[in-house]
Amino acid sequence: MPFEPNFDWNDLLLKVKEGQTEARNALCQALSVRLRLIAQYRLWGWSRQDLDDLVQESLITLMGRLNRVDSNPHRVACEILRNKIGDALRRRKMIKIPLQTDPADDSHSREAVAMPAIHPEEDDGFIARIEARDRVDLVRTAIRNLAPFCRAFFLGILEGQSARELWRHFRRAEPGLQRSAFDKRIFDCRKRLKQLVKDQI
Amino acid sequence: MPQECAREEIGRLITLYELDQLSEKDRRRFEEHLLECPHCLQELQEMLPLISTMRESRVEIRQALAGQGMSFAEEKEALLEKSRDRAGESLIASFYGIIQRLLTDVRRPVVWAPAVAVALILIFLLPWGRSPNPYLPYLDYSKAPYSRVAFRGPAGQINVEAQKAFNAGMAEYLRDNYDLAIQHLKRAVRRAPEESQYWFYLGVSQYLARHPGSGIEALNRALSTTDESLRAKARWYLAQAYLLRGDLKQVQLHLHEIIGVGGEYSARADSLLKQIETFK
Repeated sequence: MPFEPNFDWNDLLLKVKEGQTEARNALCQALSVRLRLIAQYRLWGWSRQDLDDLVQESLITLMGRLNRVDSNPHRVACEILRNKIGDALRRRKMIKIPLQTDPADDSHSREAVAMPAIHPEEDDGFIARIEARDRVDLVRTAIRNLAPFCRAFFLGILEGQSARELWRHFRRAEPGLQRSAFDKRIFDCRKRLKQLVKDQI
Repeated sequence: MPQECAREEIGRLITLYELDQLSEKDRRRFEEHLLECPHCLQELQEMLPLISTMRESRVEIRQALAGQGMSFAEEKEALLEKSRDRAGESLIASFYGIIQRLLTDVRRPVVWAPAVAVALILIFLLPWGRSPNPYLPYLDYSKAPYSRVAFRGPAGQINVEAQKAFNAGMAEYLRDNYDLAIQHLKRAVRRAPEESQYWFYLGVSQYLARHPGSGIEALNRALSTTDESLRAKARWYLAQAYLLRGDLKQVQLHLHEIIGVGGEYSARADSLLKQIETFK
């Protein structure tokens, strides 16, 4: 199972090398859940299809090299995924707007500009839009009901400030606030936010 | 939920990971951890819809919160204000700490003589050295009425931010949350110090929250208005704040002013004045 505690990657690797199909499936399943989440957080806004493709390619590469992997297949898979992500990002960045284009014909440049931009969420229709609207209301209400420190933190993030900048701001109110204490506090803020939206999102 | 995270110091990075605030090195560290920690993996999965909403509808959420008078700048200012208040309190606390230490060390001959001197000075200087205020039963703790419809400035001249803070403050005021109301109203007067009504409701909130000193200051600012009805109201609450402080001379002065001008508060001022004089 993907969330099974004490998941033994090396034991699984051994069984896959022995040719056990069940172990191979279990390894692929466990890895795909994790890699998919990592890909999603690294490539925020990319389409589901693109993310699935990257994970799939990473798993195929791993399976091809598995005989050369001695231990920790999950780490190797993650490294492969990171490389694939890097390649994908480079591919998207390589598409530049040509300098000598006819200003009247902007079809090419529009395409070029659109490529690196994030994909808007797949439009699943009217219900999905209502659900998204409800989620926005829920998050807004939850942030409003947080303690002042947490509220200020999430407001700062929503306004595009970095955690480092926010820490500096908070240090003006609390000069002795260490970065580690700040990180701990925002971890607690996340817990509180989660509690507030629990069962609703 | 799987067992707790075994490496809490890395697990704590989850918030920053979700909000894309980690350095590449820490991001890798967290991802390595994620591969081995079912707890963090599930946490990340569970929060995904919320984080997606936060990241994808950032502007929308921010605008909605700004519409309710909430922005990072406002919250930061409120935190700074609180920290200044705390600094004041800790100054008092450290002063009492010194006194306590002096009293504990009273057996040491070098210390006890100055300790007695300090205690004597305190008896004369601190408020509890005085007799309690005998006029407290005459205080009027009723709220000054407020109706949102009745309060509108000329179009085009309204300071939107100040108005938002004022509305937020009045919402708390109507709910009897005076401390919160004070925070919002302070922001309103900072943005539009020329608005006497803002000062008035700030002063009333401070009085109702039993802070007569700052209430007097705000209500005096409200007196600068040309609106006679507001001036009368401000004088009434000023008289109350002075009464709370035990400054009878000022109470009488303002009550006489109200009676002289006449109007809504005139009869109440007359009655209060008589009660005070009878008591004396």
